[in-house]
Amino acid sequence: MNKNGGDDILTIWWWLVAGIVAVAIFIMVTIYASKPIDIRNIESALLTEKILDCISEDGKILSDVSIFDIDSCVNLGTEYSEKQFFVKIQELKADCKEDCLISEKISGRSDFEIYCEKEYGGKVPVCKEISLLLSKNGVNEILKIKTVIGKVDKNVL
Amino acid sequence: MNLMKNKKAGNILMISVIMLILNIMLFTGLFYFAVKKTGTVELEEIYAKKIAVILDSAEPGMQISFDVKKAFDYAEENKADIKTAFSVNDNIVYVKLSNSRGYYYSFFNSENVDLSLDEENKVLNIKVGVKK
Repeated sequence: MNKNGGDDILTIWWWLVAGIVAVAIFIMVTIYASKPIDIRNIESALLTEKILDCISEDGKILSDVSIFDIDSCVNLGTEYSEKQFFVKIQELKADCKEDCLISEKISGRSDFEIYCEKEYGGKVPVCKEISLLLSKNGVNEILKIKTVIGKVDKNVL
Repeated sequence: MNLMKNKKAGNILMISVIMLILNIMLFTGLFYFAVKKTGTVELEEIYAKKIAVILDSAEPGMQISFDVKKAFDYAEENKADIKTAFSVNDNIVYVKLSNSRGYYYSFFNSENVDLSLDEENKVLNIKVGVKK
């Protein structure tokens, strides 16, 4: 009789453990399945490359950065009501320490620029920054391109 | 005495078999749930993001063939219309492989894009055209 009682208890405990395992698997799978894939690093790299292709050719800056039309180069988003990008292009004098800025062009959400200053982590936009030594009318210049992509809800849990 | 022992042993065996069947059912159910849950939703997202990245990196005049065999299987499994599973509108890629809402993702390439499905080879043909 006692042994049967023991078996019953064991069965109840066993099912309790199985239930806990099931709940744990359910929670883990749900978290895993709802975790999006973050492709913003790839996107910002491609965006930077695209802008660079539009503004330069064979290592030469084609036009004045301040009059460069970003919208004719890339179409930055209709998916969101608010813009989800920030682009800053700067033309700087090479070998220069002060007042180096020749011209610049800014487009999109300027409040995103702070995400280039340091690593924030978590649900924040992604920043990519490159500097290249190019030439314009035979003079060496530095072209700095900064791109920030938001789209946080589609890429971060 | 022996008969009682045999009956008891038989009962234990019966309980063990029932337990085993119930356990198999439980874990099969969990496995099925895990596969289902990580299947379609993730696949729609993966396809939408992959196509968006392909389009972002594409140059005008490019023609790209993208393997979508898995999409055919999922769409068939979920009774979704594969003909309308992939579309592009206003710089957004839409992927719908089930009767749920589907998934969409934006891209920034300003070229004209044309998607056509090759049902025979289970391939999505992406044509990147001239500027809009």
